[in-house]
Amino acid sequence: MEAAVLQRLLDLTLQRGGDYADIYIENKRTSGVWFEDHRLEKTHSGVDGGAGIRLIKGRQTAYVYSSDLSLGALEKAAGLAAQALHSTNNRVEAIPLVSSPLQHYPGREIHPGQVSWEHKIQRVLAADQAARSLGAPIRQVSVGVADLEKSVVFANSLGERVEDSYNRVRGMINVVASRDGILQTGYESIGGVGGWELLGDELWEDRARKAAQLAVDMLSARPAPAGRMAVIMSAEAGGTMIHEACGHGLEADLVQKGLSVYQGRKGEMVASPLVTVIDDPTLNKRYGSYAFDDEGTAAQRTVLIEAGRLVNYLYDRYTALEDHTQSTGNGRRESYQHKPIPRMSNTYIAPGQDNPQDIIASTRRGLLVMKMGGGQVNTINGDFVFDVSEAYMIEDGKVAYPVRGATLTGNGPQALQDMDRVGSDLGFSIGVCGKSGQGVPVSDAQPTIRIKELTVGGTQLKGQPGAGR
Amino acid sequence: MEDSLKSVAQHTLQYAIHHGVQVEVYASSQRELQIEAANQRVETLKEATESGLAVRVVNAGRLGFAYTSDLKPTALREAVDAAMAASDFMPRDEHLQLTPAGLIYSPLQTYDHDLGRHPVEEKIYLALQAEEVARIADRRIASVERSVYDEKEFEVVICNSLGLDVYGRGNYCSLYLYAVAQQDGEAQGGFGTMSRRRYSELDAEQVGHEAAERAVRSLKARSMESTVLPCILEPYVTVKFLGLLARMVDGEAVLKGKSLLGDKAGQEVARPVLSVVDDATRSDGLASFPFDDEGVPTRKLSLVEAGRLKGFLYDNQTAHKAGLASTGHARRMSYRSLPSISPSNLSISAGQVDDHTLLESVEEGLYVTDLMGLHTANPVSGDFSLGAAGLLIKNGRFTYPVRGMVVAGNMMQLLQDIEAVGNKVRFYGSRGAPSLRLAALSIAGV
Repeated sequence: MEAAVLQRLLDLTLQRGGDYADIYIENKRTSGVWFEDHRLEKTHSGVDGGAGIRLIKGRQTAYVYSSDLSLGALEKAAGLAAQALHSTNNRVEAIPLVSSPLQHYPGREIHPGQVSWEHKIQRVLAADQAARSLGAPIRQVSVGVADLEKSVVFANSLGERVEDSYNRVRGMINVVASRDGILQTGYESIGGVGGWELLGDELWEDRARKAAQLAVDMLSARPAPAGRMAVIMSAEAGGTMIHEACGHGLEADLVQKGLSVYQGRKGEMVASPLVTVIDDPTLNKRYGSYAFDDEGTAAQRTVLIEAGRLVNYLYDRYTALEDHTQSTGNGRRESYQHKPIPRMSNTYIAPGQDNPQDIIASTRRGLLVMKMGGGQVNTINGDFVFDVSEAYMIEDGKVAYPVRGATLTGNGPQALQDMDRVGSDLGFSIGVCGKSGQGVPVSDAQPTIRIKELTVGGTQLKGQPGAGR
Repeated sequence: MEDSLKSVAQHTLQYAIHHGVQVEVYASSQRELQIEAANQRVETLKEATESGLAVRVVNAGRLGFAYTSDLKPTALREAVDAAMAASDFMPRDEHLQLTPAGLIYSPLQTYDHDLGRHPVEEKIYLALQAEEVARIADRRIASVERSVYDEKEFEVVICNSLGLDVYGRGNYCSLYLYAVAQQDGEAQGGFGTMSRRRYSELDAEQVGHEAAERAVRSLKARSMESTVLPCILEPYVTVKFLGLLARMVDGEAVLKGKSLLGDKAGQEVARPVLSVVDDATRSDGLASFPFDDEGVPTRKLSLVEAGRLKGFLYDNQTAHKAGLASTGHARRMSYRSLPSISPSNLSISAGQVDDHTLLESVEEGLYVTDLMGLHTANPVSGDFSLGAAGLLIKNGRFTYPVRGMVVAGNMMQLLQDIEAVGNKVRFYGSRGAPSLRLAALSIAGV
């Protein structure tokens, strides 16, 4: 889109006063394949686009969006934004836009637009076969792949203009195994910002086998015990815990609204000195990576907790203004239908010194978590609950037997204080993180860590024998 | 908008018919106004318009699907071409059926003309009023995170190559508020919410009071020991379980052997106190509409009647597979997705016992006010293990709040354990339920 048109829309938005205006225009193409029960169930391909116009006056924001990208519709949207808030005398002039070169997120060797339906379907079939290679207990295999091409034009009244385009791919496999009336599932997903090379042959089929193996292994698992015990989270489990139980509480909007246990605690020790937490959208091709955030700020690595001390929050432009600081490049949105808010990108606990095997060997009794399920966190008090999809009991420093149906409950700040061993490894998991009705792609990671004590809510009730069901 | 939506749908349909395939076009348009207030002022005012179109082709029994938000003629034709191209790779499915023309639709009042007549200033006032009520309701209320007024207006056109051509529109409005209570350095949150088909029925005062009460009553929560206790689930919690039940009466899950209820039609799955109904024709229902997202007429459907399982929810495809007729439960999240099965206004019918009597009937038990992680419950096995918070009941009265527990069980057992049903149904969005008393629930504490 021409600079003159963007300039005119920004001027229209600011016609009745305001401190800041921006426009975000998005065009995307998506496609996907879903395979289930030996059958290609559905495909989709879609074209989606629209523009969002934002006006900030003091502490008020007007946000108007439209899926109609005609000039008339955009001008109307700008006019609506201008009228939405009371006029003020404070009127900034939009600074003339500086043209910036088109940014391509580095590395998309195999562009989704060049991948045929045949190839996508073949990849899905390959995963199905890999999962079914585990034999009789495998009951159901569902496989999905999806890709996205997105281009964005962003301009604001500070004269900044960014044009960005990137691709994202994702694959997921869900396997149900069954034996003697017991059903267990295994799930794996893989993806990143880049092209179809991210679903490379071996990696992808390995994941499918892994999902199937998990479902089969959990068939012979015993019900998880209930009670308080040491919990070791393997690097393989990914960083769901740090994302949910800590990361959200460090998002500046929640902090400023008094909805975070970390409010007013910058500079304080909030975790064990072994713990360093980082958010980094500049990591290569991870699921939460980007070159610019969704309001034109260049991506950067942000240390949030350094050796236990809280050093920073995650900011977008708006919350940064409020705290008289700079945006950390974490202003993200799901689409043109949403205003940007502070969000995580790739969030992780930095690796420490311990050999992961030694952490297990030094634990008399506890739960070893290899894979996390879903979870939920109350950011006000820090309480969390997580489902565990794969776990083993540790007895006398050894992995004893698999358990199923475990749930972890605890409190985020307490768990961070209670981390007493941090491994030298690092493992990632990916997901779509939801907040205020917006989903954005993220990844999270952690080394193998031990938490001194958490409440494990198991399916095994007091007085029941440990095996069978 | 009605005429332009119909014309893009017709244009797409005619173009697709020339390919010699069966085709269905779904076009929708939506308008939204959202006002978010906090600290006695509007923080964000959002106005949105969005339109899009989806095309499903059935090419010799093979499904193709594509959508577009670009409604220019070239983009519409590209969507048809994309759906055609993908259909070539799909397996044949004799169960893919389009809705025939000439069906009878219930006349429903789903559009409140009054809503659009009220100025934005008045709606801003509603959000501010709710905030004020919450703020002064109790001295322990420290802040209101946000108070939101939201209204949506939508219209839908569905037409297909069998001659089906239906149009409908609707609107609704909601208030939502989240308050934070503080005492001795501890903070707890609570929400209040209300959604209505009719603007005049929104009650800001009630929403503000409810949020404040929920936040304050959670303060000073203690932990509790592991035990098995009778429980009362308040309507908000029951509604969450209803979501799990919805996945078990989904006709597709049943056909695929993924529902524990799949082989229990006609059998007793709960005590006679329990009845569950899905009804898209309720006059006040948020999901009320004369037709579903395939254009099939909607009706009232009994799912559980006095403890006996009556049937399941179907769309065209799954109904054909099961040898039945669609129950009118095809739903699309938006034009971007294919229809799938979903309930409309799903509710547990009111029972006989008033809430006070229900409480008095429990000597020692737990009144469950919140559950965390229900989306992680396993609909295939029915097992759940959820974070819970509530109020401890002693001798028929509330004592103190408790939190940090895990309640575990299985959905089939839970259904059997419902021994009393409250007489007041409360709707949260399109799901409604009264309070329920459960004979026993396993609680893992600290």
